[in-house]
Amino acid sequence: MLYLVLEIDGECYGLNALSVTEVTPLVELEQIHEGPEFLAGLLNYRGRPVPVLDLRRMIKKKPCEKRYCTRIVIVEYPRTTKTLTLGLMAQKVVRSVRVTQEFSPMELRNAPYLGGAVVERGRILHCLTLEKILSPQQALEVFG
Amino acid sequence: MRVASSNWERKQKESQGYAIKNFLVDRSMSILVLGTLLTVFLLTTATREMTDQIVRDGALRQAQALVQTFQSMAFSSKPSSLQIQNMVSKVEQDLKGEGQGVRLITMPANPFERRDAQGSGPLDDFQRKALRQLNEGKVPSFCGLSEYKGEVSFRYAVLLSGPEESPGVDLLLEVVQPLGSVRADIKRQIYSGAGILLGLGGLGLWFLGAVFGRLKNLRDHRAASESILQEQVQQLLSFVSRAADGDLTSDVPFQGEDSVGMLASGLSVMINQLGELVWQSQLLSRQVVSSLSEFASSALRQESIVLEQSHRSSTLAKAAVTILDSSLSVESTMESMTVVAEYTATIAASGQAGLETMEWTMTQVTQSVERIQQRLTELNDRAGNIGGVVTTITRVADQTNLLSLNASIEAEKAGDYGLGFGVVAEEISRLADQTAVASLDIEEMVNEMQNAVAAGVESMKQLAEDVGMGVLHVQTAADQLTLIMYEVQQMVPKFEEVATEIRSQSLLADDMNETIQDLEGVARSSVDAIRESNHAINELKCLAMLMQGEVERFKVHQ
Amino acid sequence: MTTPGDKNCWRKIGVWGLESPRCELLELHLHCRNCAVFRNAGREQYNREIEIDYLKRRTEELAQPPKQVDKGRKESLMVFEAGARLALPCELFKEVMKSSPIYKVPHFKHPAFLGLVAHNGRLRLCCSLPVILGLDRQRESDFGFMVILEIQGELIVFPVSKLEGIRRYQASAIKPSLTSEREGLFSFSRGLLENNDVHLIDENKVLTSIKGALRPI
Repeated sequence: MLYLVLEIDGECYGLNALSVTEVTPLVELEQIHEGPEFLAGLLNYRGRPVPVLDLRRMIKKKPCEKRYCTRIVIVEYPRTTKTLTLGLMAQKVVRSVRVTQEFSPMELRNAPYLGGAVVERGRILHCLTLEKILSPQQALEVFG
Repeated sequence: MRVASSNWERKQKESQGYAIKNFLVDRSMSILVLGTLLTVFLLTTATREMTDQIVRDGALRQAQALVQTFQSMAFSSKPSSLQIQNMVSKVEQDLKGEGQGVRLITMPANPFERRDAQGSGPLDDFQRKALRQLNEGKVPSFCGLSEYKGEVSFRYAVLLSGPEESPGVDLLLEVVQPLGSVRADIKRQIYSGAGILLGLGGLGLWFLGAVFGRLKNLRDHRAASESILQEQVQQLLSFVSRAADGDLTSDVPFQGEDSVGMLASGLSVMINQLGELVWQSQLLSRQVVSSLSEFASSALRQESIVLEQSHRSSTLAKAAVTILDSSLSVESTMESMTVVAEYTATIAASGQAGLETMEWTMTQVTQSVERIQQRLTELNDRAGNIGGVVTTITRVADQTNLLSLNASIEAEKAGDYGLGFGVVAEEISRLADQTAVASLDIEEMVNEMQNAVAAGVESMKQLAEDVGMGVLHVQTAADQLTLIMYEVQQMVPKFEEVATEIRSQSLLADDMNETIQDLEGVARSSVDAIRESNHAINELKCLAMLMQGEVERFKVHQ
Repeated sequence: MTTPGDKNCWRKIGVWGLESPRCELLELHLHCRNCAVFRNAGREQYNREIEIDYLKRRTEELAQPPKQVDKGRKESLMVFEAGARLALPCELFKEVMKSSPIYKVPHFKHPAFLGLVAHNGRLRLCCSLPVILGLDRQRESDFGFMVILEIQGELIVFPVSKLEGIRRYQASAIKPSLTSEREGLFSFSRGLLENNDVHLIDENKVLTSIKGALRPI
């Protein structure tokens, strides 16, 4: 399986390439002042407003820096009956990796989005579970 | 007859004794005459040289006085040529009585023209020499001994400025005093002294001759006289023989009215008179001896003076030679110094030329440095521009990377159909990374280049400063060298001046040396002459003493 | 002493350097571009801070809605130049490669047959499309690229002077050529594109022509 590698402060998080719609470069986002902290803003994605999550903010409690390699991964977030387009902003998205072995299963209460880990080329790659990237409360904050 | 014969024999014997005496008297007379003549001759010769000296001094003084008079006459106001001519003729008239002469030679006023000028008629050696010395202007006047009109003359020359109406003319005034005329005066004096001496000697001789003539007559008469008279005659003979022996003090043994008595009395008178004469002769000869001694001693003094003079003149000659040598050596030193100074000037000139070239080069270097700085700045700007290109490359690499990501995702979605496309996507990703590395490399190279350029600019700035300082130093050095060169160039003519002066001095010393050598020669000949005269005087003294001895032999009443 | 991973190691001990001492990782990767050190160094470049104006430009670009695509049947054609502007369906193209040496076959002379070309370890026939189409002779200086076409299972190499790119055309955009023309280029033309400037070639006719030319006499 091909995983898109999202690096946040040297840590690698893998996202299944099949769940990725597109990777876009970093652009200016429309700020939502009343929104939750982890929401970086709204992206004008080809004429459609897409909420963008700041993964660094969510994981490291620090906003992403504005760099060339900072990219927004457009995904289809599954929500009960339908999928919703969501942007995931990560500090460094420059490579994809093909993972052949199984992820060792992992279940963390504080980080439910981590679906396991695997060692790839000497580095640990965490598997991001897209469905659990937002806690129900967070999902409620974003999508209502 | 026997007696007569014995008497005759005695008479013969006596007459023989008289003959011997006569012979002695004759010889002493001739010696006296010869001695006197010799004395006169030697005195004349000796005095001749001495007189020259005296003449020279006297003539010099006289000539100087004359020239002074002339000068004071001539220069009290600028005279016309007619006035000058009048003055000359007046001076000539004044001098004519003393056997002197004045010559006035017209000369060009310019010393350089004068050098070859013949003036009013051909110049003789003395005039040429005088003119040469006077031309240099080193001596106010020139004097010396020289032949003039076949006579050794003392000559004195001065240069006078010419008459008012012809400014381009100078006058060479020459006073000539022939030594002969002066010498004649002194000679005359000496000759008169010698005449007196000769007269005295002659008188003495005449007396002696008369006495001995009378004695001879008596001897002739005695042969025919009476035997009676023989005793008387014997007595008289003894008296006479005593007198002949020189004792003129004894009285006549008898006196009488007869012929023998009269003879005796006459003889007595004669002996007395002779005694008186001899006494006077003795006195005279003593006087002669003493005066000769005096003369000899004064001659000796003179010899010593002349010797001293000769010594002094030889010392002077040595000094003159030393001066000549030293002036020659100074001259050669000056010449070499001139050469050195000229060489220095040449070197300084070439040094200055070198410095000018260096200065020019330095200026070129400064300009080059400025150009290089400009180029470096341009290079720096270009490098900065490359920075912009690097950004573009980075953007391209980033977009390529993004494209490769999306491509790989699409390929994954396409499943098995997308496998090949996935490989392409991976290649694109690789290319993107290579591009990024290229941009990194370029950036670093640009940074290195910019650093190098900055260092270059800095070192160029330093170089420019150094070169500026260099230019300043070179300019200072060039200025100093110019100054040195100017001074050396100023020095060279001075050296030449000094050299010329020394050359003229050496010429002067040369002339001086010559003159001193002349003087020395004269002194030496004076010494010789004085020695000769001394010798003659001594001989004369000896003769005089001999004569005195002879005369003193006679005993006379005081 | 430079070790792998040092700054600019590829320019010092790598293939762009003196290789003295040679980087030990080269034994494994053969070339620096295959090395993780090199790639990471490249990827580090993406860490550069983004310029605001560039960010704004990209924002605008991303905000553009996608162009409406036609729903009708489309044909992907490769447009290229070989004596004239020609087009062939994309699926015929097996590969595009740089011009390679052509090995002449002795005692076999036909103007359409140029020789043999090595491709992936196999020798392929190399034919001149302009000659087949009755156009001018091709000059070797015009051999910019070589395209390998698969026509009825046969792989044939054609030198072309220029590749314009892949174009998608609605079927309606292709105008049929005049069938009355039996001579030259038009006899091979399936249709005309872009104001009758580009000929869509019938690949089967080309193959027939080649086979005719190669038939032993």
